[in-house]
Amino acid sequence: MKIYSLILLICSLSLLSCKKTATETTETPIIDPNSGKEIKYGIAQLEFQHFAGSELLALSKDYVNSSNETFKVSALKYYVSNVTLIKKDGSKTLIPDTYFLIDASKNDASSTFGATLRKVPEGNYSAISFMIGVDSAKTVSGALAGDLAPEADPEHLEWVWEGYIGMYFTGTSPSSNKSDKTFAYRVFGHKGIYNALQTININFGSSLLMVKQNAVPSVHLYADILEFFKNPTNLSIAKTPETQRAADSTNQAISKNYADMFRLAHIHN
Amino acid sequence: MKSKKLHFITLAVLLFLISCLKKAKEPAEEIVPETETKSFHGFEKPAHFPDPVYNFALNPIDQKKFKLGRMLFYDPILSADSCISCATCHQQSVAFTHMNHTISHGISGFAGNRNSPTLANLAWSREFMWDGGIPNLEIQPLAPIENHVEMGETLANVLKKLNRHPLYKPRFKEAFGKDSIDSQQMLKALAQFMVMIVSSNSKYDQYVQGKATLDQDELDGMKIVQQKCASCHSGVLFTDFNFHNIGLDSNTADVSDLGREQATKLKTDRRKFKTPSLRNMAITKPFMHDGRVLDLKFSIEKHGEFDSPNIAPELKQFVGTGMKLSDLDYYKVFQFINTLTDNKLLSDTSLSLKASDYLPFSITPVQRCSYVH
Repeated sequence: MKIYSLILLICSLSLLSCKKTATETTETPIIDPNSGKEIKYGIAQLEFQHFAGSELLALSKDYVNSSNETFKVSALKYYVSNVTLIKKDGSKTLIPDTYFLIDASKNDASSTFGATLRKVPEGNYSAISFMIGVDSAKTVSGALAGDLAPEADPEHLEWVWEGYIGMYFTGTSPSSNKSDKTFAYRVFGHKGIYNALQTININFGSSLLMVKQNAVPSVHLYADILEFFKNPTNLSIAKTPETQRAADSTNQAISKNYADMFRLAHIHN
Repeated sequence: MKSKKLHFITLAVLLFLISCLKKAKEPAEEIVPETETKSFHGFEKPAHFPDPVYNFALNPIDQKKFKLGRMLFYDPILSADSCISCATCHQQSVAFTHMNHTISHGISGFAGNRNSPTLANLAWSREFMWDGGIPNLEIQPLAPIENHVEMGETLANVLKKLNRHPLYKPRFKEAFGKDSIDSQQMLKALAQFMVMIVSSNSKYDQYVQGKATLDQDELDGMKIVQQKCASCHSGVLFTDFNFHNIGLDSNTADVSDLGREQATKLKTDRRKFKTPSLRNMAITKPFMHDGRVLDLKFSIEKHGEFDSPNIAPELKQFVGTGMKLSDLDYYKVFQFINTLTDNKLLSDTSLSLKASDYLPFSITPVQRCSYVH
């Protein structure tokens, strides 16, 4: 019996010796300066599902754009950044460190692609806004990690000369005048006259996104790739089979086209 | 039965010891020789320099990270054929330029198209490369690593090589505290080494700080530089870090390098290049973005030789002839340029290749890389 208590003592000692690392992760509560109350945070999910018109996107299927050109999609990737949630009273909360690479060609294009917002103050939100592309300040801030690391994508959406490719959309089409019948739109530009960053605003209408501890509500969005080719500028694969790896007026015009490709599907609470 | 209990006790004691082992071992892992540890001060802004542009808050200088940066800088592991390191084209003995090379050659001897610029005082630079196309020093190394005629590698493969390397893997973990090496760690380490390359100890610097005197010819030369060059080669860093077309080529000349226009896509930036500092110029020939000029006198005369819609307005007056000085004035300017050579930088062993960094391995260039010189 004595020996067992000795073992117990030694074991608890060995546990104690590890204690320091276990206590290091506790966070100090953040107090709201207005109300004096502690701000509590929850998690919310942002989900994207891709369509070509009314059809769920598939990489092998033929689609027809507004210039009556048939095309197939090879890759569709984009950066979602600066996610901001907006309350009914108009107050905005920028969720920190929200930079996500959405790669709709990674698995099956028809699946849902998610981005997790990890630190959202509790509350009911009536709208969301986010940027397609990576803002200028972040772009020029040096070597970055995670989804912003240059190795995060084999196509190098992070391009050292021009910043990040905000939107990368490639495919094949018989209308392409290139020998391999490909088309490739790499939309660049984070500053100056050819800025191609687009801020998307989505109103939840009568719904509310209710963020609270121990719940994972989600905003489900639809994105229609046919919007790439129209409104306000007509984009024809025959005329413009690719854009250059540079910020320019063509890239900027395409960014204005896809600015309206996102719409609300529904909110899950 | 008793012996079984004894086994339990032994096991428990052993467990306890193991749990303490890691802690006890840590201080012994440091293998930095004591002299080097003591002399490491991190980044110190020279008193007579402006504030640096580089954001040290996002990458505080740390000796372990700096040493990793130095290891990477001198290691050809960053190139596809393990022949080219950063130091191949940025040699300390010539202020981190490529000695006597108009343009440099990368893997398999492929030729580039621009002259290797100095790495001195990059902490004060806003944009990088001759055309300023890269907005942050930290991501600059990606360009030579992935350029087909420079290091010809892919970032993914470099990271793969580093992650399976018996030296880099544990040292990165020690410095950055992460289990695997990503590009952020690699680039932050390289940036730490680069920003520490500071040229601020020339005779001119001593003079500015009242610690040395210049003779009459040097002072006269300084006056000429201040009058004729300082609108671009300005301040104590002898560059405005801006981009200018100095009229090197006629408009009809077939020149493929559009300079700053390649970065900004603006026609008004055609053939503009970053102002190189005059520091260490006496030892960093050849000159100009493509290394076309082999001597100092010619480098001055080239200014304004040809007219151009974008030519720097200060050089308009020299169009047709180029900027010419009297022989005596050339002499005086050269005397002054000599006072800008920073011998302390060229011989600072903390910035040199250290074989001991790589022990027990060796980093001697392999014989098959015969084209590297």
